[in-house]
Amino acid sequence: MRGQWDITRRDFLKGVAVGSSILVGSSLLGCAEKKPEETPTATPTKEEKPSGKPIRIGGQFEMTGLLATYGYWYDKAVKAAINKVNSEGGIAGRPVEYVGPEDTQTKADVGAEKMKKLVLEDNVDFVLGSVHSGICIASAPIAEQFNTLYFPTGMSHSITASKGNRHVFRLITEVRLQVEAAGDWVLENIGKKWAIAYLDYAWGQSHDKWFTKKVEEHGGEVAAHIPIPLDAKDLVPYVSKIPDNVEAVYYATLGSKTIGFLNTYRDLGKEAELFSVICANDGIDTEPLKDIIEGQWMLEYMPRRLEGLDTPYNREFREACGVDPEGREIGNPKNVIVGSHYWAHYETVFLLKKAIEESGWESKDDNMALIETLEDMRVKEGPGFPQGPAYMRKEDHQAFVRTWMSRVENGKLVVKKEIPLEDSIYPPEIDYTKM
Amino acid sequence: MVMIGQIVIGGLNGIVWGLILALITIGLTLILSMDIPNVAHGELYMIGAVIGYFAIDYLGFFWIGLLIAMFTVALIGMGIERGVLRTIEKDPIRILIATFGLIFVFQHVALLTFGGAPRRIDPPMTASFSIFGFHYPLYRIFVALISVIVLLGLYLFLYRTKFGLWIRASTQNRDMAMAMGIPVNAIFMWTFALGAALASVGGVLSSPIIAIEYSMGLEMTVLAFIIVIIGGIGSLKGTLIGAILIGELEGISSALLNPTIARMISLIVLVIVLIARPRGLFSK
Amino acid sequence: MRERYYYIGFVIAIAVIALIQPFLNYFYKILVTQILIYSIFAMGFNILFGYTGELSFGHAIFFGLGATVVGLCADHLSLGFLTSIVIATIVALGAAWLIGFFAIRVTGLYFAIITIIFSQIIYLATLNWKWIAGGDDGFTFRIPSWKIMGMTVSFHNLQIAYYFGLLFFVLSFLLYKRIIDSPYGKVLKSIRENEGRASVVGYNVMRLKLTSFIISGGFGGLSGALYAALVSHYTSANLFTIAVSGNPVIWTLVGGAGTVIGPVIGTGIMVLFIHFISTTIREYLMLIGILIIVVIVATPRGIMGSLITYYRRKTENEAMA
Repeated sequence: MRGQWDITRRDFLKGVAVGSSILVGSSLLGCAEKKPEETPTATPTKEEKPSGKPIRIGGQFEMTGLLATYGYWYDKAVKAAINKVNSEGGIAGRPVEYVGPEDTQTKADVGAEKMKKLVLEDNVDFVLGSVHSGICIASAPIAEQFNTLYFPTGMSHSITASKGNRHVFRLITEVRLQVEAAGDWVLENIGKKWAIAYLDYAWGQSHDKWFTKKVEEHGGEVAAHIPIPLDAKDLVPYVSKIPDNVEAVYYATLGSKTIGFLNTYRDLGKEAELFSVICANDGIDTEPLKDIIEGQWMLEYMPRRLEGLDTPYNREFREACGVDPEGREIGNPKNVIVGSHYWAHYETVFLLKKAIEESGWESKDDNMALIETLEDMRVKEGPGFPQGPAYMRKEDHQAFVRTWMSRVENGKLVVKKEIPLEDSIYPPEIDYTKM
Repeated sequence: MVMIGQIVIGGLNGIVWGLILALITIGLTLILSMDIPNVAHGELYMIGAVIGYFAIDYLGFFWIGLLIAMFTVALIGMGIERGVLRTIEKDPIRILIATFGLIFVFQHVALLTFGGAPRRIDPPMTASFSIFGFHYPLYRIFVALISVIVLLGLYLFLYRTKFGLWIRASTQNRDMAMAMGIPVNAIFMWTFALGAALASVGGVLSSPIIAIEYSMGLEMTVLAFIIVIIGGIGSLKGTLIGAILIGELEGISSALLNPTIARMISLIVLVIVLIARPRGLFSK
Repeated sequence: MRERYYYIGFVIAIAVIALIQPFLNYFYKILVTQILIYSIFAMGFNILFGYTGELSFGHAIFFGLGATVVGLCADHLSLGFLTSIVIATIVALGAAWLIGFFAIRVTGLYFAIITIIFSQIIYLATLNWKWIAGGDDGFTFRIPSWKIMGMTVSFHNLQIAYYFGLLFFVLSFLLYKRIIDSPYGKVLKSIRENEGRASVVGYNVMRLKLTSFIISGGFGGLSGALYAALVSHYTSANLFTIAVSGNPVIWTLVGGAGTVIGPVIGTGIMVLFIHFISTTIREYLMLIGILIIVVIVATPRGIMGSLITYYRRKTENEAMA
């Protein structure tokens, strides 16, 4: 297994200065200052070993429960990032220690309890947070009360609006941002007459709300809103409600409901184009789904396959997490990455490194300076930031990143268009700095 | 017109889906009639689907995979009956809690082997036909037919064979059956194994339709218990009618109302049925 | 005589819990508060299950309602701590009366199922209508502080939450013990032992079961209200799931259903056990499953039940000798 990787690594070393494919070309445009010397294999300059009091980073992840796939990959990504940071001299010369993963069981009450445990018993300096919005919302006030910076990955818009605070930063995309990023493109290229099928709870409902707004802005039409109860099993009663005269269907389902939806959709002979954000499919192996998923559009927040973003940084990131070019775990190819999510916690570690070193942070007493440094921070694509440039907005602590429009071709996610981060920016709803 | 079409398709699908649910549930009816409230029934269904997935993935044959899943889960069922339930067999509430503990064990084993992401078994047939301008997949009809065959077979087994007579005697009056020389302990073990095997058949056959997820068992347990209790414990006919009732309630009401409200209404109907017929629709 | 030992033991235990607070690290303060509050939930559950003999798998309704009503009171009406708690408990009692009215018409397994159906209905409602509990996302809130003689008593302070949790635990426990020892409690036990006989003797079994269900729901509501007001300051539809309903069942059974102190012991053991192994062992949920099975198979009446049986046998043997 390792030998195989050594070869790819060597191959890639040869080609690195040239840049490997046309697809990289497009991503290079956004990042002119990238130099070959910055490639990971060129960097191992002899750094002194980190010393002093370790900086402790806690992980509040879903290791069991409905979203267990996320915790599995978050854990790997954080470990990879911390290993890299420590091997390159730590943060401000200090070693970084990973505390966790603390399992939330995908339950809001347990997740909040784990947040308290990390902060009060393990005395962590920072917490990398859950993907379950309820847990993020329950944890945000705890972060503020006990002066600990919290980096949630839940998708609910409210985490960086009414329900967040100055101690909460979200590096990953959220529902409204996703709709902003994808909306214009899908309405111009896929169709104007839509049906929206969504799981009938907070996450699905907000997709319905924001996308409907977007469609109205473009003068399009939503011909049907179809809520699906969370505990539904057979989806025929719901899918059969999709009118036949729509051009496309926007669906927001999760886990087995996604497969059930796609299955039923084809079974009932529906033919309109399908679009979903990757959340509906992240971690799900698309190849065995064959014709039921073929041709559908998806908004990815980082391409699942290496081909979609073939940069040395992405290669390094994926190698450190043990991921092959197709987005499968090396040694366990049935395990597919939650590729559009787990990068966020990898990058958060490097975001913290940058901010801590710039602000001179030493302990939680300096948190205010650190918060001010993080606000309005911009990072470039590079080592530690494989996903690409990011901009952390000052007012609501939402980060803006680029996204990718992909399509399933022969069972594989193929990137069709890169959407620059500017396209997803919307006016902030709140200003934490003035509260 | 579209509305009428939807009600028709909802009604047809309700029967088909009800039959599929009956297949998943029928094993529980059997086990419950022995006074064993096995709340890990949904986990047997899930484990069956998972084993089926691995077997079919490895061998490439759907039907062989189904048989493997059936026999493996039957063995697991025997193990549970012997290892866990035998000593507490006369106390249903303790059985309920012990099998509640089994849920954790099964779920975790599945998470470790199968992973957290959902997967699907390819349906062994992909054809579909048209009705009222709607497409409908043949596979669902096929599973519904299998369900009918299994129910019929089970009926004949219980009411036309000596073994079936023993089962009925043991579940109705354990001590009396023992006094008459029926090997009650062995009967319990075999019946539990049979119930478990039926759950796994339901799991494998339904997974091309609704996919497999390691956490799908608990919801199915709740649904299965509701169906059995509505129909009346120990009544094959009751389970069948209960399952179709649930399928229809959802199929038709969700065509007309907001689905979540439709779902709540169907649950309220169940409460009414339970209060009106406290022992189920077809109690013995 | 035994009664007196009982109370002395209780007073000592409470005194110990009160006095060790300053020596606990911050998280253990929360953990103890949580155990005390959850114990109220388990005690109420025990009145219904342990003493009346009906297994409810829908008690999440009352716990969730308690938490949600506190959240709504604090968020929309800015009501104070005590007012919110009282309102929450009353709402839970009302809900228990309404649901109990239907549920007690069936018994045994049917009763368990009907409570599951009710909790599923409420869960779907809270998921669908976000104004109730904020749906799956839930919502956070602040409990207004008390101002007493220039001092601020904040319910977000861990020490204060600890002592309020302890206070309510003591009050609930005394009430609970009172109910069990009362003639009413004795009648409940007779229903558990033999429902038919109880009704022949002339008791209105339905009515007694309903009151037992209502009392039990009230304890659940109080527990949920305290949990929201002192520990989580958050509520969501997730508090209405079957997993939450399963908690008091496990706690009570592990500790010993039908014993006075069993539910409290069970809650403490399970919460601490999960806390310690969830960080060190990845497969901890599997171990919890195995633990439940072992306890249920090995000890017919839970840990306390077995201890009591053992103690009785021992004293009997000594008396014979």
